[in-house]
Amino acid sequence: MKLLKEARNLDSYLSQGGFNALESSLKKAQVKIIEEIENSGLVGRGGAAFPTGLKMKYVAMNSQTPKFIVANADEGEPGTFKDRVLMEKNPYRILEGMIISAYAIGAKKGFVYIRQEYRKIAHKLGEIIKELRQEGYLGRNIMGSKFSFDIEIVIGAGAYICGEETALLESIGGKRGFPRIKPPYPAQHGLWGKPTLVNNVETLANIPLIINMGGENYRTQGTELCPGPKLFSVSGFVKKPGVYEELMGKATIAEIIERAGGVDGELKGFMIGGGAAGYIVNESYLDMPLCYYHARARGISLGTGTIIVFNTSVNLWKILLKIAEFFEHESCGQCFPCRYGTKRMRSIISKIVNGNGKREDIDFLNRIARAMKIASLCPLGTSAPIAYQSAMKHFKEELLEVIE
Amino acid sequence: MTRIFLNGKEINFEGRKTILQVAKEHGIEIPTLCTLLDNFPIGSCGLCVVKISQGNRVFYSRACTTYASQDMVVETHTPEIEEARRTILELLAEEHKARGELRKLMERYGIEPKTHEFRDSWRDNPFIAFDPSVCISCFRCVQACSLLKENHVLVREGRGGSIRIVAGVDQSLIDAGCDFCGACIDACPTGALMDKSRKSQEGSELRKITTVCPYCGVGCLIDYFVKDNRIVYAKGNLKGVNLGDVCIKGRFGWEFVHSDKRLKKPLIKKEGKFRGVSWEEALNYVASKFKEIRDKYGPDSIAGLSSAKCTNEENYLFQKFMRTVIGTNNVDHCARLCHASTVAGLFKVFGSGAMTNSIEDLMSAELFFIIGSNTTHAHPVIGTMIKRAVKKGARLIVADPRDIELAKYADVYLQHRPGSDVALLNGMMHVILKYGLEDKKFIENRTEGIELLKEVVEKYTPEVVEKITGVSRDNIIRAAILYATHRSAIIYAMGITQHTTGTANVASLANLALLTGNVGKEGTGVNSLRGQNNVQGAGDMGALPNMLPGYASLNSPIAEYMERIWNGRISRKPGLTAVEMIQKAGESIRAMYIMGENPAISDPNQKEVIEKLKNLEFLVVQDIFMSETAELADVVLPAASSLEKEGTFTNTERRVQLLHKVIEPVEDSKPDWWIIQELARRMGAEWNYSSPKDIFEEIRLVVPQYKGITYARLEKSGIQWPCPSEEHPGTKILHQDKFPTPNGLARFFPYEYQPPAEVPDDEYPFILTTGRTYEHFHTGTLTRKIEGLNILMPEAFVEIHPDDARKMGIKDGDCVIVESRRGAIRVKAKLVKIKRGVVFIPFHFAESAANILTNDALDPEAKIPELKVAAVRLKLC
Amino acid sequence: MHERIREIILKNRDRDAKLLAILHDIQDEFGYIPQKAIEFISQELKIPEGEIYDTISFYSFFTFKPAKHIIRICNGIVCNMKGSGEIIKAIEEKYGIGNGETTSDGLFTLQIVECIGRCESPPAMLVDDEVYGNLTPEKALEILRRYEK
Repeated sequence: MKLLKEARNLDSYLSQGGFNALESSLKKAQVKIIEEIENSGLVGRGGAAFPTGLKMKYVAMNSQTPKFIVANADEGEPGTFKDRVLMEKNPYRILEGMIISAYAIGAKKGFVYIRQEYRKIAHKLGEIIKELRQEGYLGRNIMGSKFSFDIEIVIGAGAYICGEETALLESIGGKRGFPRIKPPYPAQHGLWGKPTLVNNVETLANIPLIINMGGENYRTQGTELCPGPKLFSVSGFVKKPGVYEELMGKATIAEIIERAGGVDGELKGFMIGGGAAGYIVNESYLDMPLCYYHARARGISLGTGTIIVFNTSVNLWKILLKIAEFFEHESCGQCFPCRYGTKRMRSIISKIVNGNGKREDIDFLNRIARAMKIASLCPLGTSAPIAYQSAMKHFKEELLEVIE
Repeated sequence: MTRIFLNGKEINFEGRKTILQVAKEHGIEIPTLCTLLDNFPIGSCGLCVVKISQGNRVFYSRACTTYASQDMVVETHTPEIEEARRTILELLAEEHKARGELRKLMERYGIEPKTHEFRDSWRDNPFIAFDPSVCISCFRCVQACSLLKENHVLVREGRGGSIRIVAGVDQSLIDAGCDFCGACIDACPTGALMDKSRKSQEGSELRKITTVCPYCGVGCLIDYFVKDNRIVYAKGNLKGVNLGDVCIKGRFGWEFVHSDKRLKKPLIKKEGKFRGVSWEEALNYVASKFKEIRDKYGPDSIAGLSSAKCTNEENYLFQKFMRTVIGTNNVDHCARLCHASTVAGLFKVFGSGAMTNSIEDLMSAELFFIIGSNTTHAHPVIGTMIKRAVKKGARLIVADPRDIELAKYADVYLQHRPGSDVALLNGMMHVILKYGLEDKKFIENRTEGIELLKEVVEKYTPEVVEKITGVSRDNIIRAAILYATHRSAIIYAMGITQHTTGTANVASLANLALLTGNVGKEGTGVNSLRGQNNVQGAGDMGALPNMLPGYASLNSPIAEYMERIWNGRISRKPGLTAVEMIQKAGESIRAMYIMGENPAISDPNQKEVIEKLKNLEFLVVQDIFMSETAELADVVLPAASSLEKEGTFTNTERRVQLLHKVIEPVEDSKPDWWIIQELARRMGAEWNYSSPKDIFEEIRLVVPQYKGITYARLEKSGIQWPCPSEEHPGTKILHQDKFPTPNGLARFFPYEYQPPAEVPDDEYPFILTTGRTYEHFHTGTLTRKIEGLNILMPEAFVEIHPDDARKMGIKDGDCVIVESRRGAIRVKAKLVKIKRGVVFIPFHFAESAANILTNDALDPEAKIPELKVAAVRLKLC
Repeated sequence: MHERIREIILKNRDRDAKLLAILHDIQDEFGYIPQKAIEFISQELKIPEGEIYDTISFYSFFTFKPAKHIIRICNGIVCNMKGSGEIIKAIEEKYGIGNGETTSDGLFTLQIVECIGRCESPPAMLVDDEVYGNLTPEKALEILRRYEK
């Protein structure tokens, strides 16, 4: 069982048993499929780690029609490129997972929302969708069943926030990508106000695996609380940056860095969970097994599965400035705490990087960070201070060294 | 019942409410800057964040967007939350100059706000000022513009810290199609958006006075803010029928009051020149001339035009003056030109001639059938309500030869030929009967004469009607089925009434409503939108040649009762109607008393009207401006405007509302009731009214519909007649249980289709139809005194279909001569998707007066002229 | 232009997510979003012009100034650590344009962007849709030279 198994064309995918899962699903009751997925223990791979089966159930149970399914391929978190690699290596499995999910929840139309920077991949996916339509895996009466479903590709236009599911829905609707106020969640009020299932592409690629091996069986992979394979984007100061696949909880951070060729230089620490919304931690985390629950237990988050390695040449204030610049640029501007908070954090950190940091700047930074965590409207705002706060926790001495 | 714990206190409440709402109701003030609509929270400011514990979850959430649910434990002012609020305000203070609500909030949190002088960066519009350095991009104005008003002009540009508010595609408000309702100004929490007129008065103490808008019949309540007897700015009152909404005229159309063109003292014309005189001299002169003419030619040689712009009290006195002091029934008012056919047509079918339902309850209709009403321009506040209802799911049928704004919102749009309404409506009834969609129970229990109707509409098959109206048979069928299968409200205006078949048009609408049982219930009815703020009241008060106050007939016992109250005799001979009196001017009519009307512009066949008025021996005009009619007068009496006096107006939905004096009368002008009384006294009447309230008390005695209404009750809120006793709450919906006919049943009154009096031919191949624009009002006497409105709508135009224009080589903006059998005018061409073969000209503009062209042929029953159909030809200047 | 835009709208008529697709096609066709295009889209899709502008102005990919090629240099956290600053400096010096600016001949617009998801080969850039990784200043300039033709 491997997510990253390469299938560059339909024949090679079919030769690996591709679309067997779809074929068998179409013979099952929809509720049975959702049951399988609930039993599998799969949680979303986009960062929030919400139980996938439960989310499907919410949409399936909603009596409103039509329903929609959306594949979130708007991979914008810095240092994260696993979705891209997955789409390059095996786009078929993602689409198969999407078709099965659509059948399970009763959706007739799906969208793949993909970031503009991956436009070439989007065009390739478009070709594949045409091919699948011709071969009867999409369109009317899929594989001779009564189920009809089609997919439209929507290309983003340069906005990190559109990776947030409700901003993404707004964007598909032709609006600016302002996140919506939740609740209601997309399962209740999604695209054009209709029940909508939004899943990350890696999550969707897991669906055919679960159907093929059965939910119970899938659950035995990885750890009990956190089963299944996971892709990790490893970059920064490692000798072989790339995407590495591990079963959940089976490898530690140290081990995955080893797989990526080991540290280039002397290890200082790393950023985990994302290159913006992630945590900056020190080497004490090297022994942490890579899974959502272990991460949570140690006060951090696995996020998108991103690990950026820092060696001793890295200046942490400069990294924090880079992250602050990112959030200032990508704040959608809808809510005040984030709109003004990201801007102010960047200006204070910039002052510190220029050697003019004072004690009261740190106090103000801390205060802004707390206000943003409490009062921001969406996860972008609440996660923007994480890097600063975690770095302060793990590298306090070093960071305060430059402050008067 | 839901229970929550708010700051340690147990609170129980009913229904679905946000934490913000519950807290407010229990006296806990949670700060917020962005909340505009409770049901569509924006959630931008983040200040209302609260701490919530529920089950084993503890989280922070916005009070404005979070619904309070069972057993929530909410804390609104923890130290962490208060710190976050202060931090957010501090960040705002670094970026923006603070004013308004924001400033108050900063002061409360001990933050020093930056002060500064207002700098207007929107110089290219006449009314709305904007200072971007004060704008905090909370998006309340955007929400007001889109969700409240359905205008979609103010939008957001960019993102993050550089996000800002712009109009349209970053254009001026005018280019972006702003309709200057001012909702954005009211929504703004920082004063970044402001009325331009208010800029110079910043910081000064203003007095607020609420009164009724001086324009159309919707009867919006408006708050005027005044300093030193001058209005500084105005906004909609939340408690009025308008619920805080206003249109451009309500918001910015008060400037005429302070115009230096106001009449300042009485004028007497000698040797063709006006000379200012004292009131004493003017009143004595008029009284003696009226007496002289009456004695010489008899009382019926004098005629009076009362005014839909004057109060009920003044209309009442005016008709009483004409009837008992002069001794004639020659009294009428401009309703003759607008809704005389409504009164006649609805009377025939329902037994009462007024709008059946209320503005408020109309919004519960499942379907609107709008015919002959450009609602968003002529009755904009109701137009907005309809747009909002349609956005919420109501269906809409629009029938109009012009591609009006509401047509864009319509499920079915019927672009029928002007004057083909009866055929269209008969066609719809034909379809309804054919498909068996009539309300059989309603017809059985509440109506009579269905057989006659069936007989008449039998031949109006969709095929036949398609030929007459130019509307496809499919659309006729669709409209009929939609109308019959919903709780449907008909809304109409002058497009229905101003025809030689006006009475037939109105009666046909009433037939349609009866046929489907769409009368006497919420969200239904036949709803005439009245054009002037007191046109309903002027009729109620008996400013009519054939009816006494309360629509009493001249020959009824009530007339005798009135003679006793009035201590005078009433002639039993019906008087002349408005158009007739002018047609007879210089012949049987020797003198006229015209109060607040401008027939020289408003009446059809203008050239002849002016000739006739010139032939009068004596003409008295009482107005606030030197109108085109006043120019022809022998004596001009300066009146106070409605913002300068007390009294009552009755709006389109029969709601009697109290006026409050906003400013003192300008210069030497006087309220009309005072002038009429002074004239009456000088002609021997023993009148002794000390205030409009005195007059109203007398009205209550003679107008049964007003019996239960008192000034004291009106101080609290307007009351809809009929209101038979002081305990009666007023009547929102007419005809709920029975119709005011002798047997309580409504009567179907079918009409055959008759073509208009003048149809296009080879010589005059186009149909001309006329009407109003959004920016101006009626003959422009008021609105064309307002500079800003003239900037937005400077001149007349003729709407032509591009295909018709192309054939004549006319391009958009070209000067065009429009000519009818009665005259010709020059106007600018405007190419729009009006029905082919039809052209439209607004009638506000004296210099290119549409009424030079129109036909004065009359409806035989209501005597309303056919202002909506005239044959014309066009050529380039 | 109206004809071309009408064709683009027609081409996307079966889509449910029309506006973004139409805007992408217009940006590709003209190298920017002309003001006139907003007017035409508004008429065809019956969306108020202001709301289309509201959408366009939100997304950094859509531009209101024409350019033949758009260089997007990744300055995300990983590329930044691995020397994207050098690449940016080299391009700014060579072409005399800063972030968001266009060369006077309208050939290149430079955008310094956040992570483009090529963290395994930093520093990276996109020229239009084409990706180039493991850049050095020399390599970057050599690549751009090919677009000058």
